Amino acid sequence: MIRFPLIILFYLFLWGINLFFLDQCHLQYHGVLGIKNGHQNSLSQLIFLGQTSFAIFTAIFFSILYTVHLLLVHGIFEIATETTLIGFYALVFFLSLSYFPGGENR
Amino acid sequence: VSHPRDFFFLIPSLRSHFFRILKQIIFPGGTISFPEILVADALCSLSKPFKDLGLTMVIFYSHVIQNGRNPVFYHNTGMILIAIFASLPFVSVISLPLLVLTFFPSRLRIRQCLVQYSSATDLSLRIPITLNIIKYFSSFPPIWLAALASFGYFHPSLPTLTAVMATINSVYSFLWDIIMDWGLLTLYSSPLPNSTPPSPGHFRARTVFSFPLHLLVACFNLFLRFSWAANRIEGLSSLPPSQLILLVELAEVLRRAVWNVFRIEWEINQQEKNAYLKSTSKL
Repeated sequence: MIRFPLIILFYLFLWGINLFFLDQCHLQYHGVLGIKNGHQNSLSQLIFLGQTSFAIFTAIFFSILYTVHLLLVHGIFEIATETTLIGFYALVFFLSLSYFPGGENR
Repeated sequence: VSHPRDFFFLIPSLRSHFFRILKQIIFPGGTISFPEILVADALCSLSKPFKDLGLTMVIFYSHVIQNGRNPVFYHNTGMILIAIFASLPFVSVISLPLLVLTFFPSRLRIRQCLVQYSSATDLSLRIPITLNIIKYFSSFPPIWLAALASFGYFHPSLPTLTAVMATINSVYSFLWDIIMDWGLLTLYSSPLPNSTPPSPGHFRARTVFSFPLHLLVACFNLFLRFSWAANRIEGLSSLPPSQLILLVELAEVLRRAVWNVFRIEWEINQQEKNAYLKSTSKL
């Protein structure tokens, strides 16, 4: 039951690594993926400013959110796992609302 | 950092780009872009975790909403409905909530192929699209047969038939990966000049990754295409089912991540080649 969030987070981390790898191979992937080129010249820029960071930071953020939520709701309040997970999905949904197209204008 | 959300999502254009692609996947336009295909393929790899998500909801529904009624009943009913609605030619509104959980990614990908098919005028373009649609349809029979077994139906030849159908799907998908998605068979047959990095008038040859690496990754891909047979491997068969499923799902995600790199590399190559051919035809 807890596999779904784990797999999604694992994929997100791997996507970050993918982009890092493509950058290292000097592949101009920005055009085919339709994303802006960050002109990442150094490793520090790549880590802190690039698309890689977007994927990895998002993965870290949701990993922390997931862990805290599971520990707090399931571990401390002893609410059933499925209820805890549904709560987590609801939390992610509400956090993501402002990121849907048009949300950046609000 | 002007807003808490900017602390976690550093690049606003990227996040809106991602959700825009998701929207386009669900409500496709007249053409299908490469990022849409990439995300839809990623969702296909996540179809088993989506089933887990569905299972969570079913148990939540039976425990909390229905106050402890038998979750197996709801699970089986849900799975039957999924199997019935997934076999329908069109996605109906009623089946949508169930399809989201398991078959929806494959159906989205098939629909993308149908959009591409309708916009393709040339027969040479339509044939590969048709073959791609068949590939996605070939993934359904093993799932239906496995569902039959889980509902208690037994026939002596059912396990063999399921394995045969799954093998056909795995081999077909593997061949599609190396021939169409990675273009490995056209790797060293390019008649056009090599140039790395790209220069005007030339398209970059596929020299980013070496031949041994391509071979290694192809073997890795083939091995993981057969991850459904993990329970037949001696060392893995002793694992608890939940751990084995987690391992298989992680392996599939890993396969997809490796696939992404080579798919993107091939797409870059194709686009550069097209740009080169277009520029030469103008001369």
